[in-house]
Amino acid sequence: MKIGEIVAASVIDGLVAKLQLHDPEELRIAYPVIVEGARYDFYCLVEDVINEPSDIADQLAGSSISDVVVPRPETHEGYGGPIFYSKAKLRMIQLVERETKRLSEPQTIPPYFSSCRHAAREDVERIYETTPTSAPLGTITGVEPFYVHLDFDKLVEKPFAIFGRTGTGKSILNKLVCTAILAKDAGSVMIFDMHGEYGVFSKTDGTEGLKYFFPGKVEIFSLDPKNTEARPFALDANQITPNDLIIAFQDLTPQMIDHVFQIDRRRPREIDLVTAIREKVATADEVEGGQLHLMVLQALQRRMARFERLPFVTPGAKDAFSQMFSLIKAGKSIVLDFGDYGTDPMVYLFIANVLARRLFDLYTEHTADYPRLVLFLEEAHRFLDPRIAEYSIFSRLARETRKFNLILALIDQRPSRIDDEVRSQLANRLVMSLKEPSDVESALAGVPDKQMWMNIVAKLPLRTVTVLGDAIRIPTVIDVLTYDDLNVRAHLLPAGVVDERAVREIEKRADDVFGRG
Amino acid sequence: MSYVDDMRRELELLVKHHRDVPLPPGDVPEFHVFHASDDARDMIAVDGSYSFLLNLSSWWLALITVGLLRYTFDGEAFRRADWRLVQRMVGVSTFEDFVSKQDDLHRALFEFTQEAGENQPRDMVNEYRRLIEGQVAINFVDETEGAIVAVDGTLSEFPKQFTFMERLVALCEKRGHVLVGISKDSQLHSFGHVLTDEDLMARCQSRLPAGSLAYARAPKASEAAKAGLLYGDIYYARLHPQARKWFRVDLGTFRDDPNFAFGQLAPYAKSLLSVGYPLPLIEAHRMAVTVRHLRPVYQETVIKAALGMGLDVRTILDGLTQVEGRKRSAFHEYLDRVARDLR
Repeated sequence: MKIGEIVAASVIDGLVAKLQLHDPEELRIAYPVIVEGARYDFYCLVEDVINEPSDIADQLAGSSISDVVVPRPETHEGYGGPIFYSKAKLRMIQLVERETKRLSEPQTIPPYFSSCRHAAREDVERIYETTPTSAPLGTITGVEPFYVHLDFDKLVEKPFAIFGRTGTGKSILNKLVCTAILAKDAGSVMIFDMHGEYGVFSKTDGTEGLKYFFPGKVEIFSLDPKNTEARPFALDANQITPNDLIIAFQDLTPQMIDHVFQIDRRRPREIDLVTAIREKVATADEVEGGQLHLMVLQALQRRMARFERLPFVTPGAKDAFSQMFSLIKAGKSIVLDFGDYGTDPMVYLFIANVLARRLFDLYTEHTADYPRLVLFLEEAHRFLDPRIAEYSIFSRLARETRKFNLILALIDQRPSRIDDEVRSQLANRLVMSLKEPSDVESALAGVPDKQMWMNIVAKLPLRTVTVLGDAIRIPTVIDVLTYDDLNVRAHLLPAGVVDERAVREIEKRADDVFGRG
Repeated sequence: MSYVDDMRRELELLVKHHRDVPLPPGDVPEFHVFHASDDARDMIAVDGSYSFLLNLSSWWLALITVGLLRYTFDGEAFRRADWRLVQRMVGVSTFEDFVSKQDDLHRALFEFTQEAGENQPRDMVNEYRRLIEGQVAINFVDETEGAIVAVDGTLSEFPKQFTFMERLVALCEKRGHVLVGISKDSQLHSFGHVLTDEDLMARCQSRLPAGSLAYARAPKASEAAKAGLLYGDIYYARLHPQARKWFRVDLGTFRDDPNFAFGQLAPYAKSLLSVGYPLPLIEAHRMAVTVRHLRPVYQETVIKAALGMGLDVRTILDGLTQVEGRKRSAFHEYLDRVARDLR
């Protein structure tokens, strides 16, 4: 259906269409629109819908005259269409040569009065290609249901990020992304599962987890000894480095950090760092020489006392990392369940940093031998804040590990607090609603037509994501799939990927664990 | 004595004759209250406009555009049902020797407007526009029946031999149309009062019941004065209770039933955009005046054609005109610009 005609155009600034819609509410930001040029179909996205200022409208608005017909588009048809009409600002995204169907970048404009219409399914199909490694994350907004595919092989080639404020559906999107990565065999994943969402069933909303759909591909470890279904996680305290502590306790002062490094340098190798700090007794020489400060040391020791409450960190414990790594080498994915410790950010920051650092070391030592692993990092800004990024392994991980098959996936609500250099490494961004202007700006730094996307992202509804990067043909706004058994099977899993008997068995075991009826 | 003193004296006179003027007795004007019909017929509205493009000595070239729109109104929405747009390029000359060798139409236009002095080219084109409006209306209304036909201005015509208005009235009678001519602004004093008829109506409208629609017929003597050129009865009408003004409405058919005619007209005057004035006429006007907005486009066509005919660029550019026919290169234009731009 024709919705308008082009009345202004610029390759740089986009197109302006005079709308013939009675109701501008029929059009929304990010809806795809086709402008029918002479030779090309211009695939555009709605950047803005506008009712321009009008002196007449100003005069008429608020009139107290009764028994009149107000000049709305549906009541007043003028000689050339509605007397009061809306306009739409359109951003050209792709050109489709009508004869050959060849796609190209928009380097020209359509003639005046070119017709505009809603994009139809066949238009969209021309744009979005499917590949053996692609899967849908949802439907495109503003078109009859059309499932937009992302190429997950491309997605996991380089670092990527999911940004969005709290409550926008980041976790659901992340579950879909993880499921698709595994379904398409694009790699394996490692997830720090703070809230018990990724195992067999989510403890928060009861939805199916990765283990449910991929019982043979996913292994669960747990910090919580109460979770008997998972493999127990233990960490040898000797593996802890000063940087792990700096990341875990984000509030260490520069003096405390100096003390940590100093104690680390002087501790006997058979004593782990945490114990060394806790048992450190400052000598008179050290105090007088200014090497140690008693108050600082005491404050540091009080913080280290928190490790007493972490039974999975013990000196000389049988470290679970080697077991995990064997599984990773065998192509398995790892879900590390935090159990009751999931509410303690210190534990999460500490464990994530320790494991990531050790993975980094191993992957960078041996290049091509290890399978691709995507390391999902929630609350990424806590690791990648410019103030502490130098102590974290993650900024190096983002910059260097693409060639080593270890890929970082950031999940965060405050992209503005992530180090610029790390953000610049992101090849794909899945951006959900963000309200804070600095976050919107940061999430889209370096993106072409940034201003347009900033406007779009600032107004995204919940459960909608803007995907930008090389895993998708063109930047696209997607209504995220509802994450449930039916959708995952219908759109993500290849037929027969889940053995019914295995699923029933898992369900039974999960029921035992979580007490579902 | 300064200009302020002059102003005070003259203004006092104006105010006195405007504000303190005695109103006629209660039965003059003779108001008739009517009601808007709930079942409005379709309205066919016609209006025209022109734009001068080129002036070479005593020759003027102008483009006339006439817009015709047919509207329906269901009580809630005005819908455009049909339309016509007619454009005619016309050349007029004010050099009598030459005009005498032209056809009847040009001679008649020249003679009819001879008293206009320097405005003669404008008046000739304006009358030409009215002729084309009439022709367009005639062609269209002959294909339809039982509508309201509203033309812009009075139901009058210039030289008797071009009886387009007479033919339009006859055709509307034959096809059962209500024919009206509505003047946007009238300066008539047919009631013999110092106030214009429109102002007189406004001054006396407090005599009407609140919220009523009404019309009043002009004294027949004023119609008689225009006998032969006027086709219809002259009325003043308030087509909406809160209309911004009274309009002169010439009624060409249904002259024995003005209640019905005005009742049909009133629903089209309900648009907030034009309270008291039929919306279709506004739209026909907007359609017609596109000729003025697009003047540069038409002038470009003229320039190309004139160049092709061997006229030199300087002559053509000097001959380009403003909308009303004044040359852009006229010395007046230059003086105006100097007065405006110099500090």
